[in-house]
Amino acid sequence: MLAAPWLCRSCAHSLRRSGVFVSLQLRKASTASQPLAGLPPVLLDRARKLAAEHKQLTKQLESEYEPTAAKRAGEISKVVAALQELDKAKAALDELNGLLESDDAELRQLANDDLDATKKHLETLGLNLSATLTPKHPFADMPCLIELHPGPGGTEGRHFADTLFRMYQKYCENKGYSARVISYQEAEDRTPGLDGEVPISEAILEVTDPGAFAAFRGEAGMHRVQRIPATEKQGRTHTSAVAVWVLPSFPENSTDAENDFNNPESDFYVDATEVKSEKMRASGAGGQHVNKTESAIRLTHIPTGIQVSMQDSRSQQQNRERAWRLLRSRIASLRREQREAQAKDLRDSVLSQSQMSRGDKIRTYNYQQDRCTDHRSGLDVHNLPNVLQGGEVLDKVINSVQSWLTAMDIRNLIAQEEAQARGAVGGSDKKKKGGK
Amino acid sequence: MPRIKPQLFWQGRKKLGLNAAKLLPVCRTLESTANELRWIKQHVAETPSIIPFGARVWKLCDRRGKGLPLAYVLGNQPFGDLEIKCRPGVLIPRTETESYTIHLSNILRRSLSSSKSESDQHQHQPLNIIDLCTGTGCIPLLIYSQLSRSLPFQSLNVVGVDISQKAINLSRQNLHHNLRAHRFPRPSSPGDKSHPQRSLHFHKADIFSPTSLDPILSTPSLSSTSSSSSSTGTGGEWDLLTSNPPYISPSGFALSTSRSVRNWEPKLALVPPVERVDLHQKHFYDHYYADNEILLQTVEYQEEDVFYARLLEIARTYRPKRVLMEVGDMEQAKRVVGMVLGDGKLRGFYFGSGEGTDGKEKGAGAGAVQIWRDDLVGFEGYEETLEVGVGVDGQKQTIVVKGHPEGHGRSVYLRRVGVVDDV
Repeated sequence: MLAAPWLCRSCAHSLRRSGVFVSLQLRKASTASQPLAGLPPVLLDRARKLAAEHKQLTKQLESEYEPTAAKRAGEISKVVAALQELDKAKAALDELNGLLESDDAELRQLANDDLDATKKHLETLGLNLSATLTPKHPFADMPCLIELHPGPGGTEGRHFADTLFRMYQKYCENKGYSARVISYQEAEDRTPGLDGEVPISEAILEVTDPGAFAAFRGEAGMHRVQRIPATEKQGRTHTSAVAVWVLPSFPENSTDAENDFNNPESDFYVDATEVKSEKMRASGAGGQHVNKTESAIRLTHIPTGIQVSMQDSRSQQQNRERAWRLLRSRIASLRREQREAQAKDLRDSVLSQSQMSRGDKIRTYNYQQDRCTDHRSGLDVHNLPNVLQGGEVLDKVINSVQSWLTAMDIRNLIAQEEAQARGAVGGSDKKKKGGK
Repeated sequence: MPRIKPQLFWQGRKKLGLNAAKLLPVCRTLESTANELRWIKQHVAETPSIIPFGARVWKLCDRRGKGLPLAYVLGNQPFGDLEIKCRPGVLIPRTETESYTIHLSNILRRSLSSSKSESDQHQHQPLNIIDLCTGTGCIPLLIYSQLSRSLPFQSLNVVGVDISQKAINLSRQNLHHNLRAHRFPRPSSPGDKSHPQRSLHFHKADIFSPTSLDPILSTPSLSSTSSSSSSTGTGGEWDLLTSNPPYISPSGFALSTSRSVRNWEPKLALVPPVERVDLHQKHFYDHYYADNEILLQTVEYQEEDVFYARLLEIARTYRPKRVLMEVGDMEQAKRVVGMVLGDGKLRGFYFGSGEGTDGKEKGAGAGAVQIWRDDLVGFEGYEETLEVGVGVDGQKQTIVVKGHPEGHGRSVYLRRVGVVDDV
């Protein structure tokens, strides 16, 4: 209701028509809209299956300790706990429903009061369960590399890449992540842009905190900018794009076998014999004969054709290390993508919306309207300067994408379970590494 | 040398500013001009001075434009994770040297950490390392830095030797410079008896003069006063001998060196001096192969190889466990290998006595004679075999060549029979 005691009728009318009261609704994709009172049966089935597996595993572990089994048990114990909570809440609800049918009016009243709260609780528990069931991204715990590549279309995109680069740098500062610049290459053409932007041809930022990949993976994709560039004489708005890649980066000294790049099982393993190294100008005798300053390193991974080059540092050693890291990250993320594409056969069309390939436009920054829109979560925020300063508004956008990604993951999982249930006779191998 | 297109000067001026026009004749491409200009600016920004920024950049670009090597202009060169000071009169550390030095310290680290489990007493015995013709001291400094950090309890005794007083002064400065920047732990002082005894010394000596070199070579103990190592007896052995000697022939110096090397770097560090060649050649023929008349005629020995002859002579006398010598190219590497295999004694030490004729798949304790190419780090998997003709009766021996196949032959590595590399 209105707070004001009295309001002119026509004003009230126009207010209602302009939709001030309803405008607070955000077009947010969330799981809350799903009928959660009945958790999707497939998900519940899966939870029960996992609980059974957990029981068996614990029994097995009591008699004999085995690291892989213990790890697996640890992974699914969360699901089991959530399921138990849910079952408890359900039992409570049943009890309340029983009470509702009792003859005592006072008792009925009490049960009625409790019912809402219990239902709410049940809903959060259901959400909790589905969140624990959603697969953790295999690289979620890792640090990440954020790569910025301006799209085609001249200086404007390069200028904006610089802005994005600073945005992420400041965002990391604000959030307390430690970020370091791996590569920052100014383009040859050096016309200054808005607010002292420098056109860049490529920039790579490494966020070294573990778990950074999970925090930033939603940022991967095309970032579109709409504004009047500094170079524009006639005041026309231009649209350009910057591609952001988010790659997992392996920790410098990892103890985890999964992420150890010397382990051939790992995604980060690169066979050195498949890599061709070119020093950019490898001619002449070398050694004492020349004192070249070119420290550039270019590595080509022959089977995939992935090429990285590094020339930022004067030390060739440093360039080489960085180039190898970048190559490993790119290859790992390619492998992951390939596995996901394989797992895609199992899934429904739901997936196609969620899997953000590098080509899709994910976010628009509009300077004229002072607006930033994320096209996936559908969140519209104003106060663009704050976004570009990496402030709390950007945090809001990133969080909305995070929750959207979680929702998508859950939906994918459900779709996958359904597909598996249908194709159970087909006997598709579900225990594939990436297919989880 | 092809002419630089005037168009490049235009572009350089437009895109990178006036300084680019100064650098372009030396750098020759826009890309490397942009890099060098960036490094110069970085250097100026990092070192405070009362002279304005622009003026200093201009000055440095001017000097670089005259052909002075960048390392001399900026006064330093990164080497591994160290910063090595450079000054005219001392050879600038090369990236190839950096590459094999890192590989070498990896070998030492792995072989030590695998044998450590067997006996803890190993650590008390210092690892003795000597570098001859050390120049800026880059090799001993990098090995010291790598080993003191990866093997924190290992005693180390590292020595660098050079004939030039300038080089010795600079290498000592480099030690202090990197210590101030806390790039590696401080060597322990002579009176200090705490557990990991580390020392790093630079001595001035002519490696051709036995009187000045022998005192250094014959006491590979932590310090000459330390009695503990001499009492154990086995401590008196060199674990590693490295050297990056002058190896360019006078004609090669005139033809194949780049201009900034020829004009600005010390010839002493690049070309073996003629009088030394004459002197040693006589000595070499008299003593070295005196017992083998036939070999004298067949072994290929050129004047730029004179330092290797001397180094191998040292190896024959002191039998270091591992020897690494930088060479100019594959041909020179083969000649050096020929010198090793042609000498009965050296061959016995480092190649084994004939059971290794098939080259590959020898026992763990067998010695090794290897040629390393450029680009070893990251490409340890590459290996091929090479047949080298050995003087005696035209017999061929197979040895192992390591490193990326496109790299130049860069160093010759010898491992004594009975020493194990756990790679």
